[in-house]
Amino acid sequence: MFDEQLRVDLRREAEALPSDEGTALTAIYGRAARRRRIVRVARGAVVVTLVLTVAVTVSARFIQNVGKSPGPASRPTPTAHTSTSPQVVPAAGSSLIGEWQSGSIPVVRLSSDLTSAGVSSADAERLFSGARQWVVQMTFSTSLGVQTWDPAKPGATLKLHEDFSYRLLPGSRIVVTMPHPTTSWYLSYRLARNQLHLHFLQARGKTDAAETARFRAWTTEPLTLVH
Amino acid sequence: MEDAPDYSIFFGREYSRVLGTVYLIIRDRGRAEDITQEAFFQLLRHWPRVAELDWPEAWVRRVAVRLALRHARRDALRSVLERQTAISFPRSDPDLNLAELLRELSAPQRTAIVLHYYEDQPTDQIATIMGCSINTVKSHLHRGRNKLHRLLLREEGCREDV
Repeated sequence: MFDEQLRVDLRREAEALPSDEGTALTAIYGRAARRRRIVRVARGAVVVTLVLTVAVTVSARFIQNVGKSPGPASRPTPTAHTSTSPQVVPAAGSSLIGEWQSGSIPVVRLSSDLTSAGVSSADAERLFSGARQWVVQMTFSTSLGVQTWDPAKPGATLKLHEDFSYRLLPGSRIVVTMPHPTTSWYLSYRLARNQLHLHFLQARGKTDAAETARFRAWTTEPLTLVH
Repeated sequence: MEDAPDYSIFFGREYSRVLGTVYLIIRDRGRAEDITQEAFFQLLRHWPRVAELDWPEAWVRRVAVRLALRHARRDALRSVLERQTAISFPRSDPDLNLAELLRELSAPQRTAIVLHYYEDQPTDQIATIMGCSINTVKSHLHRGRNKLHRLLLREEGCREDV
């Protein structure tokens, strides 16, 4: 009896409740559609964020690598050359860069070298202007400058060809070129402590005997690095 | 989700029943509609999976009952605070309704009573919906029913006095 009354009362109470199922279903579908849009936008935002992050990272790495030298794998090695011509080593940055200066060289010996090379005694005497000692200075930079002077008269500097061009060759060799007339002097060199030892090998091209003799004379004494 | 015609059929068959259950538990029409719609919205989200279940009706009821109980607990706390200052008047409703007396039961007892007497659910299915054991359901039903009976007798006594 009690159970039946409870059952009836509950059903009557619930059935008295107005229920608009159509409106409720529309509201649920609308809410689901809004949620789908939100999820879509959120997913799009995540994708855009990921793409931007990757793009920024790649760009930053690219910018960091701009201006850097290529890696070892892409750098050509000396053995990769197949040319039969002598390999040229850039002068800049070589161990010869600097000012190299001789000690005082007896002019008698230099004059003897010149005359034995075919320079007349008068020309040799005119070159040294009565000096007893002579100093030679070679400056290796992008070019080769040569200055000689009488140490007893430091102000009376005799300038020879200031700007020879030069190139380092394999085997500790060097070629110095005089433009007019085109003459190339081949020398070997040896570095010992702060001293540069030059040894004249040969002259090629339209050689000027007097000029070659002078240049050869400047290479007879070891040069000391002064700067 | 929009391509779920079975969902619409299911909704039309179950919505009113679930709304009635929730309303009887919380006794708040507006809130009952909100809770019921939330439960069916959750059902729509999971419909492809839930539709494969043997008893999808239990799934949506379980969600709805859980939300209703959560609301009832908050409401009970608020009622306790309000009761401390309220002045109680004797009932003057000549047509005594047992559904009105459900307010005096605890939320789990109310839920078990509603599911059993309104939805005609057996105890094992009530246990599934409420997420508790069958013995707990039986206990809620027994205590709830006894309390309702006592309340009914008391109310009838009061009415005779009036």
